Amino acid sequence: MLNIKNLKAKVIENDELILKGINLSIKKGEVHAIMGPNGSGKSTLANVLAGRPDYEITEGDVEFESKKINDLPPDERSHLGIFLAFQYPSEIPGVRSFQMLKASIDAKKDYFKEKKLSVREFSKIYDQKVKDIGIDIDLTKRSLNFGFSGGEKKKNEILQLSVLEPSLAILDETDSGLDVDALREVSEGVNSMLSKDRSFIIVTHYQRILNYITPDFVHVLVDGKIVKSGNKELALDIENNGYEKIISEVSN
Amino acid sequence: MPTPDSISRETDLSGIEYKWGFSTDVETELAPKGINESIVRLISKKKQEPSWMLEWRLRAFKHWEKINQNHKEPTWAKVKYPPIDYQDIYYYAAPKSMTDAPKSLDDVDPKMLETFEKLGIPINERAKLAGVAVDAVFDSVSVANTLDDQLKDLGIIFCSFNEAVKKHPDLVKKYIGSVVPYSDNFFASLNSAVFSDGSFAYIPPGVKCPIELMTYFRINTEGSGQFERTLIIADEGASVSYLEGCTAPFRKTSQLHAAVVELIALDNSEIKYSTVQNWFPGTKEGEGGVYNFVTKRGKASKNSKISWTQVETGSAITWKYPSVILQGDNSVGEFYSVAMANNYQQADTGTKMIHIGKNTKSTVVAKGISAGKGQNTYRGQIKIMPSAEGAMNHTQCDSLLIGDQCGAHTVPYIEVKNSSARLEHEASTSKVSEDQLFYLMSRGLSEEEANHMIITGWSKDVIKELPFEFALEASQLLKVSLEGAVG
Amino acid sequence: MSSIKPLNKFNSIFSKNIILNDDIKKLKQNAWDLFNKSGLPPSTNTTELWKYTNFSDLKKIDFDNSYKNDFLVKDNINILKNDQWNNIFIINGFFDESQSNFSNEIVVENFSNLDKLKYLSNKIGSIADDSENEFISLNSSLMQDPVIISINDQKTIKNINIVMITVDQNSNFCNFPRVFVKAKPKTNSTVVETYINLSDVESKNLTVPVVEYLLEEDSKLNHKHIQLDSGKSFLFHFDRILQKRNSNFISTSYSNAGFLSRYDIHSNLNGIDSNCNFHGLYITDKKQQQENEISITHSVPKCSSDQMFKGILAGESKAVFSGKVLVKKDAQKTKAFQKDLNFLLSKKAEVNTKPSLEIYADDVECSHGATAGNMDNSMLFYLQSRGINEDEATSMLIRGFAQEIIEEFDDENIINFLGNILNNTIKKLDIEGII
Repeated sequence: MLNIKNLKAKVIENDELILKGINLSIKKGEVHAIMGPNGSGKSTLANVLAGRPDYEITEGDVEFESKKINDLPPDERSHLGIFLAFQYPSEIPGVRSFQMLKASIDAKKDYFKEKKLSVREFSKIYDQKVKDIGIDIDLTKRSLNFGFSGGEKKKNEILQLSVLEPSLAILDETDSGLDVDALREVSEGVNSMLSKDRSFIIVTHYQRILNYITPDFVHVLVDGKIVKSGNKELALDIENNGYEKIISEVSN
Repeated sequence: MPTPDSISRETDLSGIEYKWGFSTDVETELAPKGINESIVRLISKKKQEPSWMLEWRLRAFKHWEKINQNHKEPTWAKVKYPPIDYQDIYYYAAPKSMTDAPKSLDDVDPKMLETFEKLGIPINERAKLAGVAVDAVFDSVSVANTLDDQLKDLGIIFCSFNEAVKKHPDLVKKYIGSVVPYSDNFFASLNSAVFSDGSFAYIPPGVKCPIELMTYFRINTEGSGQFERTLIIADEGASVSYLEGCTAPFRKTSQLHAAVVELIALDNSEIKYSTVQNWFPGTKEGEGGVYNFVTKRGKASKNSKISWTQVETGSAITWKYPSVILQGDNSVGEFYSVAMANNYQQADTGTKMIHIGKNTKSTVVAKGISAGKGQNTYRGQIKIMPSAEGAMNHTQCDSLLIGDQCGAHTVPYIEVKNSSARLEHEASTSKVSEDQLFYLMSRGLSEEEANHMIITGWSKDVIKELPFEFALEASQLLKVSLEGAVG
Repeated sequence: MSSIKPLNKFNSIFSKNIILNDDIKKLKQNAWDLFNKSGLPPSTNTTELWKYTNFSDLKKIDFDNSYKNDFLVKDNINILKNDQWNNIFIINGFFDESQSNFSNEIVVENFSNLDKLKYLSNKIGSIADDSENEFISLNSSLMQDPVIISINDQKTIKNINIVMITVDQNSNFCNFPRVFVKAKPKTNSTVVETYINLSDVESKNLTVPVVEYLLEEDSKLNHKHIQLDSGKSFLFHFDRILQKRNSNFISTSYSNAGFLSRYDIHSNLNGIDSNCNFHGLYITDKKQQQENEISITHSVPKCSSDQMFKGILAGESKAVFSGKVLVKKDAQKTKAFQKDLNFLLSKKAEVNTKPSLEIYADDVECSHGATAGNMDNSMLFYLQSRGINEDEATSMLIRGFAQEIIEEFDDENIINFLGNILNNTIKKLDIEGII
């Protein structure tokens, strides 16, 4: 479903090349973890896949469901089924979660020329998801992400994931800044979303989230390239020996 | 005696995005162009006014003549427009069928009723259903009023200004000019001399007006100036929520609108005044549009509250500072505003909060949106007089810029003459955050929708102050007014 | 003619002017013509620039500029002198060579350098525009000894100490110090600009200093402004700054008010990547009035500016703050912040603050804020509950409010010097009726 071929991307503001030739293929229903040290380009990859305008693809292709999406705007990618759970979700004054999600769903229905959900129909879905994810109902009444704790922000991201039901979910360092309980809750939310029709990319620095969400594949990103791929064992290896070992293996 | 002539015309509406731009083909009675003493007398005579009203108008006219010779119009606002020829304006335009005032809605020209229907203004049975009492003002003349028996039983008076002058002269005499004297400023003087009609409301002591009172203003005639006057009195312990909406047809020539609104909140009373101003803003090329020079002010007595909420999306020029004189101890003044300047619009708007009484409190939330070649200025004054022990003010004014051809300006005057006062003023100017845009777009919203959502959210502190139906309309208006500005 | 009448007091001074050179003569004559046209500003509320200024007292005085040059730097200002510094003394509008000492890293020129006059006249007035303000044109017409200070290329210079002293025997004395400071490319310097009025306390003299700063590419200038007025005099102090690419003007200011004193700063950010900061503290008491007029023009992209002024107001004094940021159409990526915070210590003190923004570019981040408030009773109680008496707690809170700015002077000598002045000023403040 996702095919990344020799992907190179730079930061537009300062021309710095961050992704230096990524090759990655993901099939339906697979869970891929992308690990790497700070500054390796993990978050950039997640953001480039979601179409963040701060980056420019200088070479290579991203194909999603056999369609080249290099130049698609972020909203269209969302319609097609790509979802990015942000590492730092924006705070948006005056806009509430329900309102935003209703608008997202409407836009998607529009895009596929389907009938829109009524407010009542959507409320039913939304309320159920809020309950399932276990989000304090008071939070959903506040401005989006305003005054939310780190854990609340991440849970809110998972709520959006479960409402939007993407075919590819990219979790960008969703585990960062979470305590054990919050991590468990967020992971449970993610696990409930696993299905044979949905793929995941889990971008993370640490192995610990992978204790909760089991990856089919683990890739190590160093300096903008995937230097090693493997299965779950690779993540444990990193946990035990750090990134240094892999970096030195590769450079030899 | 000048002979009134009548005009009727049609305007081509093709390709116009201002959907309130249609004009209505009704026969109009016009006095000759220009202003002089005999026009003032004519207006008063047409209105069958008592002599005291005429005397007041004439004093105002003499004052206006004097300032017109000396300093002319005020020049401190950040707006530019070609000189106005005050002798090239019709000072009296009235739908002909109104010459004999209609006794009931059945007597009103069906074309006018149609106009208000088209604008979505409920002036027949729907008014009652919508829970509002409506005064519909067509070219400054009140054409329909839907006050129902329920309000009459409570002793509430809600009628055209004209009618009030005749039927409630004591109230009008007592309060007209008591907040905005005829000598207040150039445009207020002009209005005081030639005002045509407007709305009048009186809420008797202790009465909470159970429904919203609403006046809908419509300019129709080309080349005519618009000079309505509104007077609202909340007697002791009374409360009222009043709404005002305005539209005008598409015209390539500019139209002058100089209104005066006076609010009187007696002890322990409350007046909430909401405006959605959508006068014709001019074409995308900056032709035509309404010059909106309006003086709005309220006087708050002990423990009373006056709250202004405005959504200003229309007019080529907006010059407007709804203010509160906080005269009584513990009185409260509020000003919530969203002002938009797109294309060639210029808005110079804000408020004055004059704290005189002890423990008076004021809140100002002003949001300015500039797009296209629009210029938007917040101009506000917070004045704490020596007597205003314990006064408090909080002001928040924010500006958003959309595109690099527009301007956003903030000019607050904060004058404190009592050390026990506490004041906070905050302001910011920025463009729509790209992070926010990307976030929403990554959730599937188009850029235009995302922009609209962010802007509406950003304006929410103001829009939430509006009564429900108005809030929906305001949000929609913001969207329509912004069309073409983003994307 | 009646319209020129108010100018008569300056007319005789202008006619007595010694003019040494054709260029200077032209410059002064042009300025004089401008001033004659405008005259002193009209009184309160008629112009935006002088909205809160009352000139009626000033207009009653017939000013004269003759004085006896018998002044010696006494102990009380020796503290302003530091042998490690470059000291430039301007007394009653004239450069005083005998009091001054400076290293050869800077060049100081004045009217005594006759051969340099042509060079000099090219600089003076190139940044401060005579047509912009009545008092600038008055200074240009009546200045007697403009001084030019050049900081040589690529040098780091410790304090350049410009001390402007007004000391006179006549109560209608006026003087017009004029300085031009040129920071050449890649210099890093500190300029302390001190104005001190040592006249008899009853003397209502007038001082109008105009200081022009040119910051060339990549230069940095730490500016420390100290205003020590007698509390009785008139002062209109102008700093006009032009900044080129990647220059940095960091200014900290301390003002003890005069009877009517105005600190008036304009900076034009005219080269990309430039920055200016204006932070200041002002203290007013009795019937004094202090005005701070700060105007920053962002003419080009990617510049930043920051204004933060704090006022302490006592007695029946008045403070006026007008902070303006103008962002021109091309000045994208501008960051501009302003803040004015006022601490009102007496019932009759009055503050008028107007932080304004005028913005024509969209990719900007600008904000401003202003507050006015009195003593926070809960803080006062907290300190008192720890055994500090009310007076001490009050002065502690005032000092605490001021401290942030004082510390920004970032020089131990100056911080101590100002700390003492501040303490003495606070002790004398008329703060009756506040608590």
